[in-house]
Amino acid sequence: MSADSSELHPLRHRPARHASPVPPSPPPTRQSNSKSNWRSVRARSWTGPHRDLRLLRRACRRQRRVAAFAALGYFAVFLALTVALPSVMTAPALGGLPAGLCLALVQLPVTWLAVLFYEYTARRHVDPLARRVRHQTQHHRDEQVGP
Amino acid sequence: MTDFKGAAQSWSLVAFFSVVTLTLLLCVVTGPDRDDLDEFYTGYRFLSPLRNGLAIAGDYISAATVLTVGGIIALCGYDGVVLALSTLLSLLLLMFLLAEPLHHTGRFTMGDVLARRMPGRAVRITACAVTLAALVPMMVVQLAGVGQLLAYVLGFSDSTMRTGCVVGAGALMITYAALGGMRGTALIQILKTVILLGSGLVVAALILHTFGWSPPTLFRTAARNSGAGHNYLRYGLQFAGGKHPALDMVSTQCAIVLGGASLPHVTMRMYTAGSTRQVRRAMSWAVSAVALFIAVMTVVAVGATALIGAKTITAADPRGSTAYLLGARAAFGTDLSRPESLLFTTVTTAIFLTLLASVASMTLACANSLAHDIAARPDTPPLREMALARLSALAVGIPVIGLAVLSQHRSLQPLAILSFCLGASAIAPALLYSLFWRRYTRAGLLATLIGGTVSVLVLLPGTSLVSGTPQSAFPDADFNWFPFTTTALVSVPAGFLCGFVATVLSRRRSGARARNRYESIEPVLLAGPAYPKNG
Repeated sequence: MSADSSELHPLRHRPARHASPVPPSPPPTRQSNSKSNWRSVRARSWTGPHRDLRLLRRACRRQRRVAAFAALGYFAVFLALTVALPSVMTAPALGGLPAGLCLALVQLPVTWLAVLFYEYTARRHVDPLARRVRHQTQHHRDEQVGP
Repeated sequence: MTDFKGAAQSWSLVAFFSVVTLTLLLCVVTGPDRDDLDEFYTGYRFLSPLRNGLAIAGDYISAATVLTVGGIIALCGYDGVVLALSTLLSLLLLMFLLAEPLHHTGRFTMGDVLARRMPGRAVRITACAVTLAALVPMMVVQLAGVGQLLAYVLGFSDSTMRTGCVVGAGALMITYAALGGMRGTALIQILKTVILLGSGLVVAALILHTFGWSPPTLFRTAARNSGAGHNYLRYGLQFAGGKHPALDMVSTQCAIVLGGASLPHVTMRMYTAGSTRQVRRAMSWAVSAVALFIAVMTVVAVGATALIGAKTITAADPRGSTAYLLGARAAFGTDLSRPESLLFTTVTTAIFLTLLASVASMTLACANSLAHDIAARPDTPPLREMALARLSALAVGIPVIGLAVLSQHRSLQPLAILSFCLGASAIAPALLYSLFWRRYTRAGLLATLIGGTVSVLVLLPGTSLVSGTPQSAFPDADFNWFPFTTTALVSVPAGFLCGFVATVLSRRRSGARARNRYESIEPVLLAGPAYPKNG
């Protein structure tokens, strides 16, 4: 459900408003070679905290999208079938109940499985990244508060 | 077989009074300490996930759900089951999409979440207005339902007595909210969920036992006794009178799926968990509890039709609000032994507690929003803000009692639909956009909230629920022009579109500012605050 177009339209870089929780790198000094400095900043943004945040963003988005589309999709298909093709839904299925009612009752255990699956994937794929980003934020804050 | 006479009535009366006494005592004993604002607004510092989950489920299963959806399942079969499923789906979507970001960015109210993204007083005031507009109708519905339920269970038909019941229950709800804060209401919600699920499971087991533990037999018997035959097991009974039954059904499900879980009294429980993992676990428990309750409610309501027939149910209430109680009563057979009447009393008590608890937590959500978003400034001392919140509970509660007394003899369905539609058309788009769309601007947010609300308020009076049919709120008038019973099919796209257009039309500079702001809160939004909350 997220509408993130940051990769298509990258925001102009402004040192003061940095996306990462880590303070922006100091402005290039006159003595240093401006070209190599540019390179090091660039290289850092691909490996450092930027990368963690980007990975986390991607993992979160994937998790949210898959979960929401699966849940909504099942229900939307079910509702569409109910409304548009009543003949399919009234065909007898298990135990002589109409197929529609069976599909509806099956949703309760499926919901429960979906919850378990969501918790498992979130713990496996999102939590470690979140911990890393959080750790950096904390580190950064401690640095600011400290000496 | 369906009336409540003698022993059952006196048992119920005793049980109601003991429940009221017990819960009031709980509220006073566990009320927040004097000057701890966090404790008043969010309850316990560390409520375990199971308890928090039960409290969320308690908030989510409102009396309107139990009574209305139970009635629709009993009378319309399949359509009611789909409605119950969309209620469950709504909570599931809340868990998947919003729970964690809300927990990370929110502090006490929905206004906090929105203002974190777009600081400003206008945002907070609008958020509070929409909160009130969405919750006050729901509170009126439930409070008016208290009078109806007590009149039914205790067996009086006197109108003054009913008004007295409504006022008494209203006074109780204000007391719960003002004295207990989040802490007291969380306890009451946990108690309610446990009693509701426990008694419901016993009743459902009894009903299934009657039908030889075979759901197909149960459903077939219900279809035979419903008077609709095979149509009971397929779609179409609920909207049979409308012009476009298919679209009407889609519209209603849309309102429930998007609106149900985004109402502020449910989302406010997301702020109380300790960590990301705890909020996820709490939501798992909540979804499981609600799924279990929906299974129980389906069995009990279908069992009511199977055991006593649809005619008896409509005779008790034309919309079948009492179907859940009737099903429970019928499950015990004609003569009640003492343990059976005790069990049945537990069921009525559970419904009574559901009414009280859900109204109380809605009052609390409104009061918190009024106090924290409008009345209090950042420099207000905590003690004063707490006093403001308690006064706000009074300020919200008294008009609600008045409205409930005035409207108790009318059809209250449009008010419940109004709540869900506002949740779906104003609150859900605003939360989704502001948590996930980085270009979303302040103008866009205000346009979503105001545009969604206005579109619902303009369209809803035109539906057949308000006028034009004998079942509507004003049966004598006819200004019905809108072809559906719910407005969601038009108002939800309107809400999303208002936000989109206003954001696109806002000046480029404010769009860039919005993106910068989003980038600065993104680590917190995705990963959570660096220090554990409330710690």
